[in-house]
Amino acid sequence: MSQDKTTLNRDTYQNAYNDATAGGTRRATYHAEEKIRQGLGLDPMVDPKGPPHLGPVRLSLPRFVKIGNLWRLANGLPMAIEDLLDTTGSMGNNVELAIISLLKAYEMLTTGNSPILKGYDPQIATGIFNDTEDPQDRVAILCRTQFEMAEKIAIQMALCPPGKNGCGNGKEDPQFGLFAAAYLTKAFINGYGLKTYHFTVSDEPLVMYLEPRWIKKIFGDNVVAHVKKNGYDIDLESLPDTNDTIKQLKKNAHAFFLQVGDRRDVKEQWTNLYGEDHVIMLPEDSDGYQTKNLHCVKSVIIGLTEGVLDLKTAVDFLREHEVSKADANKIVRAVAHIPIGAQKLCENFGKLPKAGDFFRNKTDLWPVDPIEINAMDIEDAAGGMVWED
Amino acid sequence: MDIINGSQIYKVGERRAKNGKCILYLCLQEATKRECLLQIAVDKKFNADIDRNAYILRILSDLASLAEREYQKIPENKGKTLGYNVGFPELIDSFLYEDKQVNILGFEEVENPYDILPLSKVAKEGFRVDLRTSAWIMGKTLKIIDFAHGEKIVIDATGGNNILLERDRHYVNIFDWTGAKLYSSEIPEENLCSDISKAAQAVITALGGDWKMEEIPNDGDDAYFEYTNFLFMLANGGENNAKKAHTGFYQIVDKYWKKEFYPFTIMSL
Repeated sequence: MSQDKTTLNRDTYQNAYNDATAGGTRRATYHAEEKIRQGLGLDPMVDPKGPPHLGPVRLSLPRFVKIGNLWRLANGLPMAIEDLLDTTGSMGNNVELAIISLLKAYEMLTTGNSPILKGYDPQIATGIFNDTEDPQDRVAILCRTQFEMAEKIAIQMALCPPGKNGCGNGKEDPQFGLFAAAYLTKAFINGYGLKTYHFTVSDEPLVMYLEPRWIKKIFGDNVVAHVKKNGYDIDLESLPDTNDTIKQLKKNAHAFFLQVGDRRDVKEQWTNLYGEDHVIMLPEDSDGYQTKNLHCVKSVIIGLTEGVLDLKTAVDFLREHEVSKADANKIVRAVAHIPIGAQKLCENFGKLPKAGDFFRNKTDLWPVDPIEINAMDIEDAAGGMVWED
Repeated sequence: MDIINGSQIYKVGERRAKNGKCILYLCLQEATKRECLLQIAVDKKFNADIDRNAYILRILSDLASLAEREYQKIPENKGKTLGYNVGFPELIDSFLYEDKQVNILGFEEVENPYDILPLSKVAKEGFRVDLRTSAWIMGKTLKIIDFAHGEKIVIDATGGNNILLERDRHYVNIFDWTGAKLYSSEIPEENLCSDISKAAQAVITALGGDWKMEEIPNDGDDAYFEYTNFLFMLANGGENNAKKAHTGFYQIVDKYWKKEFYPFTIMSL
């Protein structure tokens, strides 16, 4: 069996899962939870401030292999998919569920009769949020992984300690995660006019403003400089509110709110922010759970938005991935109102570079025309000489 | 044209290869009538690279000789040789010519460099090797990589353009060491892995296969599934230890094929 370490597969997933859970004997986030309880904070890779060499901006970039003087696109264009998960109170299990279902989620995107993101290089980031009124020494208001492609997806998820608190104060604080998604994300696919995917999962209302002190505390004192370098003009004295933040997010991402529970006030608030066609009431599965099939809901949303699925083939797709008929019908019904085929409306959809194309520079959007490629440019692949005939 | 270095005259012949940094010509060392290869920098800004190639070849030669001497000290090795010296070019001379660095290279135990075939040429000319032929190519390449890694040298250029074959005597030679890196401490795993995976990818291509699609034509060989699965594993970066790769590889090879000379065998793609 081959061991491709560049994408997520059974081997790489199992290794990461076994490491995080000590062979299945504990929660995957156990170590992260212990660390934060001991006052040791977050791992730099999931701290919203980011490691020193990267900062708070999360990058979704193409993977290239140097061939001679050119760069070959190794895995297709990167498609960034980000989850922002509520881990307060009863939602505290969301990270664990996400890790358990990760392999199935990835396989839905990349394998089967209709791989949802065929031709793309799926890059997955996970954020978790809690409440600013949670105990600050034991709960992280926000964690955010990097956009990753293989077992690091699972490894970094396990570094995010769920808060499991929530205070019962009638709100949670996902707005910081939304701010990060809107202003501290750089996704290469946006350069073609295509949008990434963003899913917020919660059962509570959110706060409609962003406080400067929290923005600095979560993302670091230099956050404004990083946002500006990322191409957005903001300042701490007049931060965008949550509404504007979501508007900005929706310019670059197909952003959806996936609601747990059925509270009317929650649905109303999020609908006002996202629009009716971007709010999904998560259906209960046959066991009465709403979040166990989250990966199925997201995959169908992406498939419908990409135009790979329609409302009929979406059911077949879920059945192919071992979802019961009853659950499959519920899921498709729950998402039937979203803008189907929205990604296809982009002018460059269907004309994108593909894996194997050669680029002059890693920052170029378009590959070199094959007839322009000089044999000298690529012939010394993997080093060595170009031999005469 | 003649190029002279001190008392040595090199008669330059036809061009054999090039890359962004240097050009390779056939040449004749006048004094010995030895057929060699003349490697010259395309521009003096690449002199350091060509000079480095010479430096690394000297190190490899010294290390190979040392390893051979130690090997011969062991009584049960009498009559056998490690043969690391045929895995890389012999540095015959190195000098500056009109501001450009020149290396004169030869192949030990190979009289005519024209007989050396780059592995990449097999597929380019519409052919593929059979499984058993690929076995000595892959095995000997892994041996060179293991030798280099053991001496904390990462080769980098282990693709088909840089794996040269002497088909009749089953020599494998990794030619260009310009990009090789010398380490004094631990080598990053991905660099170790890369040497092995590029070589396996090149062998799979020479087999008429596609390593990304994990396809190799099946001619009905008993070894097919186990052997090709192992190659795919190597090609996909599944092993960063060249010694383990070499040992594991030969466990499979020895299981299915007798240890005897098997001629270089090709067929149409």
